[in-house]
Amino acid sequence: MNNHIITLPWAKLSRRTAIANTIGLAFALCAMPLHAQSAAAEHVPSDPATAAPSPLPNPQQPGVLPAPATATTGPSAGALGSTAATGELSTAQVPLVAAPNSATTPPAVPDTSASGAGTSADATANAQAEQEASEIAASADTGGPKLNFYGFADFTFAKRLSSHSTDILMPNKPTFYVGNFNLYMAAELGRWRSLSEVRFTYLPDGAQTLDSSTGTSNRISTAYGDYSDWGRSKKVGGVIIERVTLDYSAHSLLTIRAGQFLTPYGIWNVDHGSPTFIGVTRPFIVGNEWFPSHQTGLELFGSFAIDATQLGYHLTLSNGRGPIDTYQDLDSNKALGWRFWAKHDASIGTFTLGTSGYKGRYTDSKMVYGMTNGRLSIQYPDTERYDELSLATDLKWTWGSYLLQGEAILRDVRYDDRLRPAAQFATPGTQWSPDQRVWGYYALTGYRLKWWGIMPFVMNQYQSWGKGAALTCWEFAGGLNIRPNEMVVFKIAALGLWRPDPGFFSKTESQFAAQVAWSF
Amino acid sequence: MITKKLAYVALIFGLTVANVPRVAADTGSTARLAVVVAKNFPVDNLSFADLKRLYMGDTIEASGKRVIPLALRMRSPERTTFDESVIGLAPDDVARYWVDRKIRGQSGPPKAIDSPLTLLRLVDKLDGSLGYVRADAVPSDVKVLRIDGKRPSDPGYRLSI
Repeated sequence: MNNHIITLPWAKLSRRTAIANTIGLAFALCAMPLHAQSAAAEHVPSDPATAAPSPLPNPQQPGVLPAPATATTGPSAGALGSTAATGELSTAQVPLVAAPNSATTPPAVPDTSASGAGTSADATANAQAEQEASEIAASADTGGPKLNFYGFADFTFAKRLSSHSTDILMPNKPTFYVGNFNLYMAAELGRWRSLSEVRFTYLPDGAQTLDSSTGTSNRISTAYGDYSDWGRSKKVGGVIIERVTLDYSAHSLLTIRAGQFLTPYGIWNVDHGSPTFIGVTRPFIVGNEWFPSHQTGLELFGSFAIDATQLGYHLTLSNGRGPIDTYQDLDSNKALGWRFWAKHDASIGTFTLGTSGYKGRYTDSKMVYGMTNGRLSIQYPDTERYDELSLATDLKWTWGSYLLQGEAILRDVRYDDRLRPAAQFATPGTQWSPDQRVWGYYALTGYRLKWWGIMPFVMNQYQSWGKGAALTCWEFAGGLNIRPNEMVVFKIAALGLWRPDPGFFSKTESQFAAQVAWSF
Repeated sequence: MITKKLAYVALIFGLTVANVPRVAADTGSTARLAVVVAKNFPVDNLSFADLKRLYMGDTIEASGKRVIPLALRMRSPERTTFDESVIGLAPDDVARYWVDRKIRGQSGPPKAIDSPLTLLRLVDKLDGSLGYVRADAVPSDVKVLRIDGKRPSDPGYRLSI
């Protein structure tokens, strides 16, 4: 009989509907954040007269429900339900109570210094407060800083989907790799703050250098015999210093930073870490370093607020760009940089608009020893020089879980004719690197769902290296950025790029990438 | 075919339901928080915008004195109410916000204190510190700051849900 029933069309439909509803309910329940579930469990009606007791058992009296808090209860230890073990206020058992009606008398203000005196909770609170105060004072004054270690890492699987022999940007075989393993060391010293970040890398092992005369590449090997293991081969990696800075915060309008810092332009370069940015790889305009990603020198920054609008600035003075700019400037021309930004909180979200600039000179030189009149002479003739000006603008709009961000950069490079280098990609009639104007943009949008912190996103970007240039291309990318908790981010993305004038290269390339990035 | 359609409908329904705001379930009923400082704190009023910036990592000074923000521990009812009404972020988003800031190289979150009672004691002891507790739980030995000129009992006070 039952078999007959479930074979009827409407019976099938009902069963399917029931299954579908069950799936929907399961989604809904899974998607409810834990805090919401727990808060819902702890919720007590605001009216103390109708308030139900908390379902949580009183640890002092197993099996006995604690008395509900009342609207007029002050923070005396007993009334707020301190635990016998710690004396700590059990806020989970004391839900917020209704606000007093504005028309009525303000709430009673109990004097805890009197009512709580002598209780163990009060004594514990005092002791904790003393300890917290001394810890904060110690880090802020002369007691010595606490050094904080933290960092992030990422692990990626990438597979090229296109199969042209002239695809150049992506690895040609499916590949796993650890991309970033960055360690931060930070110390707060009151108005002073020290921050260092290093990236551990397998490079330079495996890095390839192209021999244009033979069309072949040579791979660098860093394998060396390990003296502690009978000389067996071990590969050594490297350390990249991402930043080393010391800040002095004189005022909210002025912080002075010295050292090697991330260039404060746009959004992506400051977001910096793989757990923080949405996609798997940096946009062209950021990855191309049309602004230097790092500089060594001084940075001044600050901000002030007018109602819901905040205005801020960054000014930089640095060695600029050069072959060894992290520790030596090969010309006396210091680079200048700036960023001005405005952030406004509105009913439809928060808008941040910024504009940045960088003006500097790149110089390379060599050292030449010689003898002049029987004395050693050293000269430093320049071998390459160009002036550059980069301008950028950026916009970020967040509205609840919605995100829209974009950046655009324009860069002009003008060589000194006496010191113009050979062209990297020789084309007929051109043997020397030309002056150039390049520009590009990216735009990214996404919406983070409450369910597992999933953010579907799409990104479009474009880079122009001039009309007819092979590197000019469009890219479209889309994927998921999944952040189940604050520490771990999973990313799945597919991208395709298209070159209007491919030159040597393929007209299209495409790639799939999956990444997990985490902070620790 | 019908099964697939129903599965899609269920998926859309599930995701929609999952993303309906559940503010009331998160934090309980309408509640107000008071921003408390020591009696000798140099100002009596703070703008809502400054309060928000202070708790999002910016440096705020009051009469030349640097203000030290103190928070209650994550997922406590007061913390959730404060974060949602002042910063505008749910607990999960707050946690992401501070992790992202640290990766950017910016300062970390305000010191989180285990209990309101300890926070009240700390506000009294630590010069320049500022915290928040339930409006009906403020003792007489600390000062309640007005926010945009409003006390917790005033209409239009913004530290509530």
